[in-house]
Amino acid sequence: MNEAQHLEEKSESVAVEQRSESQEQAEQQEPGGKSGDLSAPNAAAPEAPVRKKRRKKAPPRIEDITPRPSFWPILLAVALCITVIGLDIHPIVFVLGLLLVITAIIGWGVERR
Amino acid sequence: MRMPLFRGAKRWPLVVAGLFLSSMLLAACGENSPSILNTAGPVAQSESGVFYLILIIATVIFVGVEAWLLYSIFRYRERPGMPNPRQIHGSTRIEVLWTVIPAIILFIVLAITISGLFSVAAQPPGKALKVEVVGHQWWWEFYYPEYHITTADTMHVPVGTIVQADLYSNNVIHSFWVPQLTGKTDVIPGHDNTRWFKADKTGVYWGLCTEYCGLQHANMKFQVSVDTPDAFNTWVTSQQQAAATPPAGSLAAQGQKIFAQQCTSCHGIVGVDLKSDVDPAVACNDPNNPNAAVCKVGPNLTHFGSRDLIAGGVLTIDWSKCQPGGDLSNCALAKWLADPQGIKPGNDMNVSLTPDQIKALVAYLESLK
Amino acid sequence: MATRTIDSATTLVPRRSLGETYFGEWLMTTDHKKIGLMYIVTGFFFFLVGGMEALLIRTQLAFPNGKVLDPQTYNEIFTMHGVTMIFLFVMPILTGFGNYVVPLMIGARDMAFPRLNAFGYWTVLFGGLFLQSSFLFGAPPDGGWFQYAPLSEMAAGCGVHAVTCTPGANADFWVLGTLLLGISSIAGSVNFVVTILKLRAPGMSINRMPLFSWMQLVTSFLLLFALPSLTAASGLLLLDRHLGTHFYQYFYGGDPLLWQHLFWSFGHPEVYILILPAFGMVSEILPVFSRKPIFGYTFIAWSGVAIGFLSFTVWAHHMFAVGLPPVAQAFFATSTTLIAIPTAVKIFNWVATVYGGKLNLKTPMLFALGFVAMFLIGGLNGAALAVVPFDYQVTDTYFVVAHIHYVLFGGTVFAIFGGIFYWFPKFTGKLLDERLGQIQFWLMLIGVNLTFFPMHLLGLFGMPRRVYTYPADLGWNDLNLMASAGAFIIGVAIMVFLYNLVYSLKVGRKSGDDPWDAFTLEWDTASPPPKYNFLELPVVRSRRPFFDKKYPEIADWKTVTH
Repeated sequence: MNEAQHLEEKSESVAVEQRSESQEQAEQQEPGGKSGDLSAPNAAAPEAPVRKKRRKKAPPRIEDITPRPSFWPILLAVALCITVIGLDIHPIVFVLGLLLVITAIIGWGVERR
Repeated sequence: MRMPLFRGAKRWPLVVAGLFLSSMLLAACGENSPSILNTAGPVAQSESGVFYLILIIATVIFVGVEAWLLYSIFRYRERPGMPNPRQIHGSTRIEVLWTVIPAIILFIVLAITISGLFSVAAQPPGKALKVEVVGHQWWWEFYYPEYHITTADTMHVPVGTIVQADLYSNNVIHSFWVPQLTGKTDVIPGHDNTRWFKADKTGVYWGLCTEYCGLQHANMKFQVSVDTPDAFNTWVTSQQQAAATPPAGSLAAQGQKIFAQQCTSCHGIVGVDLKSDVDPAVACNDPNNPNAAVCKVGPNLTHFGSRDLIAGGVLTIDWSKCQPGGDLSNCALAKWLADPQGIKPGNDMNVSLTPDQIKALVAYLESLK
Repeated sequence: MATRTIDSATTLVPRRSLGETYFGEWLMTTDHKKIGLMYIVTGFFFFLVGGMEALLIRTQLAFPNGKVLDPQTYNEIFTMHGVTMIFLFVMPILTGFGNYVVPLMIGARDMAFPRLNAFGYWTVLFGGLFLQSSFLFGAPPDGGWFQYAPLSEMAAGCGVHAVTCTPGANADFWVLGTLLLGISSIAGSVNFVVTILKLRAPGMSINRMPLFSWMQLVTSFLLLFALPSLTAASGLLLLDRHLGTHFYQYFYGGDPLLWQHLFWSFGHPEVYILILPAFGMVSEILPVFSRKPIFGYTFIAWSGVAIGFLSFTVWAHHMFAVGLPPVAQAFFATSTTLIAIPTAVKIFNWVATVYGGKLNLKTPMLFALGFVAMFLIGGLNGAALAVVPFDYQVTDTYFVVAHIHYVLFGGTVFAIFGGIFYWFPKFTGKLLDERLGQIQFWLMLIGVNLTFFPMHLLGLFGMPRRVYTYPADLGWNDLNLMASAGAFIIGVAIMVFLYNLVYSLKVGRKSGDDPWDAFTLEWDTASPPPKYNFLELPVVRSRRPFFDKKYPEIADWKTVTH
């Protein structure tokens, strides 16, 4: 029991750390929900069996815990390709590519995740 | 769990068949090959000698480890009713042992390696024949500074003498390798690499370019002709003469005229368009200002009749088939002159000669002994 | 979803955004599993391209004075064979496996930077297409995959007789293509390092991590430190070619050897980049199919790290013939000997894993065992090449070709096929056909040995590398013919695999979640895993968390302390 508790506390603090770390699309541990044998516990509530007080939290939506799709990566890849080709073909293409790269990086940065 | 695929098959016939097939490898044992195992000089001997040591060590390790592997596979393959294996995670003692023992073996080999590389690097003291070995795209030129002679494709050296090959290139990287005499050293523009070797047996040994140098890297061979000292001196003396002047009115004289008209832009003959042989490292060093009068694109042909390789060894000439006035249909030189691009695509020689011109040129070149 | 209504009586006609179409889903995905699959499929496609190039080479060399390919085409083909296989097949496919499997193995939901992950893939795809498009422009790279200067210079940089340098765009395609691919690899590496170091499941300390993740971590560090060398070298080459600098031009004070030092400072870590993930895959497969843990986990993990560090100290063993001072050569001989120790000893660990086990000889296991057997040969002939005087004789000959193909084909490719057969059920929920897999394995084993073993002899008998043909009278004919025959046997094996792939995707047996009774976390999910990977994140108490979960009585954490 002690060992299980210790592990659960450790994973609890890890869970808290991870949530605060995520700026972009870092993984989230499941924020609560059913307590099985091996799941991370509810960060807020203590482990004491006060079950009737705990609300059954709905499981999180898949979109919330997995990274969302984005078109900036492929756009940046295309822009980079154009830039690199421009190094060989013509400075104009290179400059155009560079502008696209900058645009893509900015778009990537401000994208709301 | 059944044994995959070969269940029921007779194992012994398979083993025998396998051995038989692998013996085919021995059949191809490299006759006439410029093999590093067929050495003719001390440098190659020490380099290839270490190969036998490596072979023994590698064979022992190979047989040992593969046998252990195969034994493990056969002995421990899953059979019905087999218990679960002991979940062994490791054994520090065994692992240390099998780290330390191979390390010791490897370090012994390293000691041999280092001593070997130093012994091969240091040119022994004493008189050495200096040859400037020049890598062109794609043929080899050999200039002897002591004798002021230059030749191409075949390098003559006297037996039992230390040869100091000074490696020079003014274009791309090549590599000078005569497997039976010495390991290779690269010919790098801007570097003054040197390779020394000594030949203990007379004979003719193939050399190869072994650094990818462009289109015709495959056809950049050469030969080292190891002569007796007398034969070598004779050769030097004859190379020092200017080119033989053919008798007036002969086919060869016509050939000389054609040469003077069509070939001197790329080839030099001492006595025709050159005053003397020049040191390529001096004459051809400046890419902005190559001295075109003396720094020629193609090989010096002053004594072409005494050579038997053409164009980086892509063809071998049998002079008996190239007699002036005779049938030239088996004459390698005639074939070359007729279509150099067909034989060695991409090389620098672009000529179109009529068959009569070819006959005359063959006669002339044959006379340049 | 954009909707448009005219009035409340009109039916809503939802327009799907791009991200919801099937095609758009793949274009915009940031899911590591999809990206991993794309890497693997793309990598395998380029394997076929490179393989065709290999068959062309072997056809040309089957007989002396071959006329199948003219010299220029041959030089382009052998260059592109090297470039395609290294940059467009092995590196992407190993990244793909890493992408798919590593987050699952460490109990994470995705990589640390999912968009960067996607960016890495698209850059590989476009970079690869860019490189291959060079064929369409008639200027594929033709200077070897290593593009030595000054051959790769423009005419002006080449020396007196410069008409046969690289006047066309061939070298530019090489430089720019490898630049793009380098960018992709760096993006991937950053991602792996952060993911592996920061996103492991609770309880999975770094020395409980699966060995495949360890190797992926070391590989990523290697990429991060090695690629800048290549970028620098290529950048200088580009400047030489187009802006009139003289970095590699001897006459103006430059040095051709500079290229070699810079290139091999990348090139040597590169070969460890190509093999370490394969080590990791084999270290996963052997224990599962021997039903016991890997023997000497700590040693294998640390030897991977040691190889990573040492790989930066050995580069000039590719340059023993260039005329370095003997003391320098002695240094590199020593460092190469040092790096041989962890590499070789891993083999003992693998055999010890198999020894005493209960071997389930299915196809993944066959490939893993084949890997051990073939890599041993590659390691032995590599150690032979480290013996400098011997290297003087055989470097730049077919002996080296034998070495690289034993380690890359007999090594990495066997491990890749092992990984494909092992993880295919996880990716698709179906099993690849076992019988076809066995046939493929044996054909490949025979083919590899028939192709590459004779090359040892060819090197000893004097045949140089990178030659488009050879004369009939130097005793090389039979061995070359043997090698070509072997190459076609390998080709047949690949055909068998392709058939197996298509057949199994259509009507393959369902595999279930855990067909191999495996030990690591990726098997603790559905096959294929759901988008979110794990419903509940596992708690890890040993190196074999899934084994512990399935067999709690003999769980590792009860018997061993890790």
